[in-house]
Amino acid sequence: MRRCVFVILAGLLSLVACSSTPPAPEVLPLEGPAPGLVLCAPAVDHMRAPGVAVTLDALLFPLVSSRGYSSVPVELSQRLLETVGWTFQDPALGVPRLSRLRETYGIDAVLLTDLVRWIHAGGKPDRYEFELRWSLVDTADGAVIWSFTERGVTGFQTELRIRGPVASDEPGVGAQGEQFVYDVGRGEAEDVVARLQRGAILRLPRRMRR
Amino acid sequence: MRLLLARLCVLVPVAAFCSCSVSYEQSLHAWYVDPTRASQAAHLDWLQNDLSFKDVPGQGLAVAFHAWGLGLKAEARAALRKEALAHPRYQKLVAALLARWGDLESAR
Repeated sequence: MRRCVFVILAGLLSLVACSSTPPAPEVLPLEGPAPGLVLCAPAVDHMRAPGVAVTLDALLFPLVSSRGYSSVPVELSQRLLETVGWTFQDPALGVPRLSRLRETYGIDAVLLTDLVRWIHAGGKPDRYEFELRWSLVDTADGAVIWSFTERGVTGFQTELRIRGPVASDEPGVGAQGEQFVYDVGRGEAEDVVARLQRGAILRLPRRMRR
Repeated sequence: MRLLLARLCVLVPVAAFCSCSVSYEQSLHAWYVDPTRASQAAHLDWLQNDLSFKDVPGQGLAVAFHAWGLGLKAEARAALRKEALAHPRYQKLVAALLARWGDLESAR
């Protein structure tokens, strides 16, 4: 009898524990149809932080592919963008250029990595004040269908802002539009941006391959 | 002699692993930072031989791009056609690239 009561109590306790556990982060689809073919545009600030920009670029293709998108390697992407008039000096991607990418090459969306800010902070060699923005832009109308901004100082607390459906493989990422704070860590500049790049792409909603 | 053989048995696989452990981004990074024929050839070799990158959609585009850059035109075109067959989503892009390369060649 005692054993029976114990088993029932244990069962009830485990039920209570399960119900109080926060749900795992849900991977949501993008609003509307997910883009099939994504062009990975190079980070636009090669002149200001060449090593960092190259690291950001080199990681884009494998990371975007790992989220289920058909992607274009960044070295080829740059040449395709140049055919529609894009350059590092004139990086704006307005509707006319986007439309040409769609019509000529069948590109559905462009993933832009914008290194808005990258400067030494506090005179220390391994501390950087940074702002990085990622945007997935629809080539049909130039609409931003997903974007992600991260800013802060390496080694200190860092802010994240996400627009669009949230998707993450990481625990602790909240709902749409929320702001998060975490420490991106310190280290060599290239290592830090590689961590940022990996963290950002993990938040890009997965696309199911058909 | 046995000791030497035993050491070789350990060292050779370790050296082989280390020489193959360059990632896609490291290989591409080397070419970006120092864009020479040698670094481009090394990256092309990596793309064609690294098993971790096989069958990733779009990988053939990178192969084609670097093969074209090295003057391996037949190889570049073959890589593009293979990519379009394996992943139809790239067909329009491949057709445009083949046409563009044809125009570039005829302009010479």
